[in-house]
Amino acid sequence: MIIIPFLLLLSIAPVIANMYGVKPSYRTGAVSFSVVAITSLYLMLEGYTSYHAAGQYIAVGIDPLTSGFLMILATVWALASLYSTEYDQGSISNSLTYNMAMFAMVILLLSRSFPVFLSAWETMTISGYFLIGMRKTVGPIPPYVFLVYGELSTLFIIAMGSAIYLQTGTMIFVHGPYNEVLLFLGIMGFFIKMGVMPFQITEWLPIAHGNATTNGSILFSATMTTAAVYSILRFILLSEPGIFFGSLLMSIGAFSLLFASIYSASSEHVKMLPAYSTIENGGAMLILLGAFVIASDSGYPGIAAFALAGLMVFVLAHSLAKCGLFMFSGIMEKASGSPEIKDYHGGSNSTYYGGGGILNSISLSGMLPLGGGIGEWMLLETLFILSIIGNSPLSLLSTVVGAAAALGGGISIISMTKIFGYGSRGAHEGKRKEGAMRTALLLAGIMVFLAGILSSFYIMAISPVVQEFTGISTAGIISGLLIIPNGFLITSHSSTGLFGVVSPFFVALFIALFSGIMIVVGTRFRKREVSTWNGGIPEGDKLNSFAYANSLRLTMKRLYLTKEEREGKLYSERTFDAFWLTVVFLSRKTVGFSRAMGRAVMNSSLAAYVFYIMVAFFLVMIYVAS
Amino acid sequence: MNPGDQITGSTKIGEKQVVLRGYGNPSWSEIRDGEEKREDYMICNGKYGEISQGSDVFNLAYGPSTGGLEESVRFNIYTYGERILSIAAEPLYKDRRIVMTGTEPVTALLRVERINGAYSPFYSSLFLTALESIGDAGNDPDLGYARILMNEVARIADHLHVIGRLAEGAAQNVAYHQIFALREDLLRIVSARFGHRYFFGVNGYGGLRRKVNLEGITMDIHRISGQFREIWSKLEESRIFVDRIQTTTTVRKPWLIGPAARGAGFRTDSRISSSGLPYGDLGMQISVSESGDSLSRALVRKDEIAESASIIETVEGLIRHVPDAVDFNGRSFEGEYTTRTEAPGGDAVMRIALSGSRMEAFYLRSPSVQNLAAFCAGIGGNVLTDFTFGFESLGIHISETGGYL
Repeated sequence: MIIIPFLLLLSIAPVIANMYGVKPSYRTGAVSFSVVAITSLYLMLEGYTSYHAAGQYIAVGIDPLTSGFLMILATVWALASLYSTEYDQGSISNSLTYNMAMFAMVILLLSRSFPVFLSAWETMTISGYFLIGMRKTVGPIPPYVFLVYGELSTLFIIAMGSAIYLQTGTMIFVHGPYNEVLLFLGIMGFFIKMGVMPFQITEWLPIAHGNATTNGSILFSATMTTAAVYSILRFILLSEPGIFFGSLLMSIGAFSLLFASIYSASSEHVKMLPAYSTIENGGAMLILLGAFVIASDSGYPGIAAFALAGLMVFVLAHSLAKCGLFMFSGIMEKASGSPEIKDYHGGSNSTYYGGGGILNSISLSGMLPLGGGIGEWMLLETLFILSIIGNSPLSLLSTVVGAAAALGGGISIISMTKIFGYGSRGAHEGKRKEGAMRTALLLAGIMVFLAGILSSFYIMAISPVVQEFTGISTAGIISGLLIIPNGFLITSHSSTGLFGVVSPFFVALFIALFSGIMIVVGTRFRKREVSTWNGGIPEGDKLNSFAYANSLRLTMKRLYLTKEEREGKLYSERTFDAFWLTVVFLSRKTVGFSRAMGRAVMNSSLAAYVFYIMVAFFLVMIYVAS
Repeated sequence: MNPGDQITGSTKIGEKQVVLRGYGNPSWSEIRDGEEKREDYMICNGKYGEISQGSDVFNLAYGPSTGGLEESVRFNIYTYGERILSIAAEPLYKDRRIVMTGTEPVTALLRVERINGAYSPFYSSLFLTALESIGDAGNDPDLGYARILMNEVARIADHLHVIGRLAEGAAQNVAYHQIFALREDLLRIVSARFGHRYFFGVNGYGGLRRKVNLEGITMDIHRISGQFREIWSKLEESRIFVDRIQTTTTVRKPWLIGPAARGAGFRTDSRISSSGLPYGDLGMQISVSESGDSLSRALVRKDEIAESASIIETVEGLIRHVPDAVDFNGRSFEGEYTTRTEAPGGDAVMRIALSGSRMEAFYLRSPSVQNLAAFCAGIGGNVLTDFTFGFESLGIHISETGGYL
């Protein structure tokens, strides 16, 4: 009974602490959300469930799904708050809206009725708007873009809530099944928050996330998108969507993943690059969600459990690593005073900065044995298994989606090596003290590393979440083999038996073992140090970050609409976003159409205007009556 | 004035009156209607390529000492990543000037042979033809045929080298090793028959300085040519090889020479237009390809290997007795002479002037000077990985781009 008020109290503490200053609020946030994360972990392991309703409109509750996500988000918030103690030098408006946004997300996770959910969603959106808008260096467009798309998402959710209310007669979340079209309508609102297709084309997410303060970007990219995934899961849990719905999720996810990874690789903006990576991760999570829905509906609870476990691994890895990557880019931006990667000349003498940066970027590249690598392995395994279950259209879809996911995953290596590589070499960074920003970055890296190598144990820990959806535990996923003890091996099973295995802990162990042997042997007997060889001449110009990704811009010329221009001996290259050009084109057409309609109908003719009002009124009456 | 732009002399090459320019980066241009037509000829002025600027453009230094290049040369590649916007080459990064003025002809011949080992018979023939003309040594047809034979063997060896390097650049390692093994085979044949694998010390004044064994050489050459044809037939089936060199470093300039010119559709060959050696008697065919790219140049070289084998067969049949060389050490020469030949890389022009028993002036416009300029002109717009294909397809020898004092 006291758990929910306890969690709410802890979550609002940083907001209240703002009265005592910016730093106390962040310090309170770091402590209180650490407690929330530990409490949530305990509640998830216990499978704790609680539900409280007040009348027809207000209801809150907690179940393993809530506590599982709250644990992840609270961990990120604790790290982000620790980072902010050094990052934010006294902006009370920033800290207040930042803390409000986190509090709103806690309510969102606990909500069990549409009014509570929408209130939290709106608070989160408006706080986000202020987080961007109150930054002095940002123009009016990014916060406006964030607000417009935030409100659009609210509209979709209101539409879904209204339709469900008409169907069920209550604002409280109750089990469906709901109409799939209605469900999809609401989920479009969550798609907006994730920045995935079809809203990817407007690129609102990179624009907004890339222009926020770093702690704001962490909230948007690492936790608001995760809150959107939670919301989709919550409504899937309430309803019983079918294969069509799952296929749609998978297709949207694959398209989003592939294109976001392509644009991420070519981005030269220190924060937009990670923001595109967020869309890419959002796409991967949608694929796993779709795979889960398909497997559930097709009567494969084992595959569904594996997909859901994979999703939870992905959510954890994405949230932690994205938090870490934004911290890394925030340090870069602060050091160089420029948002362009090419203007930064890194140079990490800081172990925390370099160590944290590499762990987070490796995870986001989808490499084993870090969290992102395990998530990607589970995603691809799920798609492989779905492709051989004997349903031809599904096999085709899984193969195409798998190819897109693998290609996107491969391209993400370019973006991650770019941001880490150019962020960790050169002169700007220099010898710095290991303050709160770098400590939080390293902690995020260590956590994403642990999330990878101990992912088999995490999968066991999230068993109550998986059981909530599929009715089966994750015990079947975890096993042992030969010298690998039970509990250290993640296994995937197709309909015919064991399909694939991986032991992240042992992968890490073998890497450490062989690296250790090489280091010991190499340094003991033969240590050679050579200076950089540049064809026999002193070092001159260096390959900058623009050049690093330019092979992609040129080989995918049709996609990037790369335009190489020359004026005498002056050369330049520009790329255009095909999606953004489409949006601009459509906007112009819409404005043109509106003007034409305005001239035709709203032409200052009173008679025409009255006629229009009457027609509209009758149409509404007919719709309501029907 | 730029050293490359200095007028070195004016002379007749065949029917054309030309102006010779420069020592460091020699070039020549034709005089028509009393005016020098410089626009029709490549004038380096000591500079190869151009510098590019712009947003994100930077200079990627390649060389002077790097694994991808056989000789020491520095390239400044201007790029904003992947795309080569332009290249500025610095072949004189390493000082390659060779002292010729004031030397005795015997010493000069030794140095001429060693300007570029692969072209040794061409340059020694040029030098000796000029010297023999100045010294009125006569014109023995058998000696001319022997020099043609040596030149054509060296041409095959150089073409094998160029195509082998091209195959290596295009990651065709089996073909590369096979072609280089074939070239090595050929050089050993040369070594056994002529006493030196690069023909050093063979060519002499009015004859050959060494006893050579020409009997049955045609069979050896046809074997090499046949084996190369077999390798090439496999190579041209490789889409990887063809795709990489096709449309790469396309260059079409009126001043192109040798395989670069013939690969761009210009039917030009100094072997026919020059009167230095009796090629006119042999009815040789000129191979031409139209595209002007690296593949076209390789195709021309491929055809020329077969054509050279055929020329060797013809001249072996024509040679009756090659005279022995005359000792010209200490002999007095007075006068100047300009001569010209078709080296494997293209047209080579040499002018020598002697006074007493010493060299008064020496001028060599080697084909690599022109081909390096062609490379710089054609590589712009290609991508970084195309560098190797463009450079190797032109068969550039940096060693002969130096100047002469």
